[in-house]
Amino acid sequence: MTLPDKLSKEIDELWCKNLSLVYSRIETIEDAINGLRNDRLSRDLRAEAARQAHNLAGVLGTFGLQGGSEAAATIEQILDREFPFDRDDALALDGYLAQLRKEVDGRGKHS
Amino acid sequence: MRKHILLIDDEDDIREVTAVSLETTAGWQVSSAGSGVAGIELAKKARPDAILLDVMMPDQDGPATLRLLRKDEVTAKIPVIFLTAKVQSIERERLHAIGAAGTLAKPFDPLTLANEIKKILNWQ
Repeated sequence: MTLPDKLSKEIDELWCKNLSLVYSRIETIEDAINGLRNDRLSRDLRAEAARQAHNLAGVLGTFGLQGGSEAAATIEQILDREFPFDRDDALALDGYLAQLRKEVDGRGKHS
Repeated sequence: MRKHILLIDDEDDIREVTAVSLETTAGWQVSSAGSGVAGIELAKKARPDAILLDVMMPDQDGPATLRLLRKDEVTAKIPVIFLTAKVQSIERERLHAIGAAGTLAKPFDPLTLANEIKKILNWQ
């Protein structure tokens, strides 16, 4: 087995081991988007969702999901903004989260 | 001599994938800590050849951790490389100004991470 193959196999194993943590982070972001849609997004949930998006931005690219990482970074930027959110923000967040989830689901099936 | 890297990052999965990357591609020993406070204690005991330090951590962030490492004579000269999602030149300059040997972008490529560290630290 070549070095890249060995590393790839070990990273695949880590991905499978940590997949539930990745989905848990996605759920926190989903909760925040639902809160935003219902005008019930607390400051704490917004901060936590931004933190989880930041974590995903760092983690997903390292596991080879560059598009998911970029979507997570954009979600973090939106959630970190100071001015009030509106309906368009919820729609944008929905779109980026769907992109992120699609990549995670895809890699999950191939590991 | 086998290099010893200390990784300080609050994210479990990043710590794991970094350790696997450096152990597999370079054969280095990797220790890790999940917070700045725990990382400083480990650095004093283990005296690693270099420290990889996450910038954004709850409670005590990376820059605050570096300042404390620099104040202790046991850890003052250990080179520190920051891991950061913010890779703009102004951020790199800010981190360099407080004593970082270099910065590495998150996310990183596990296959090339060790070589990036070698370049920053001039390790052959």
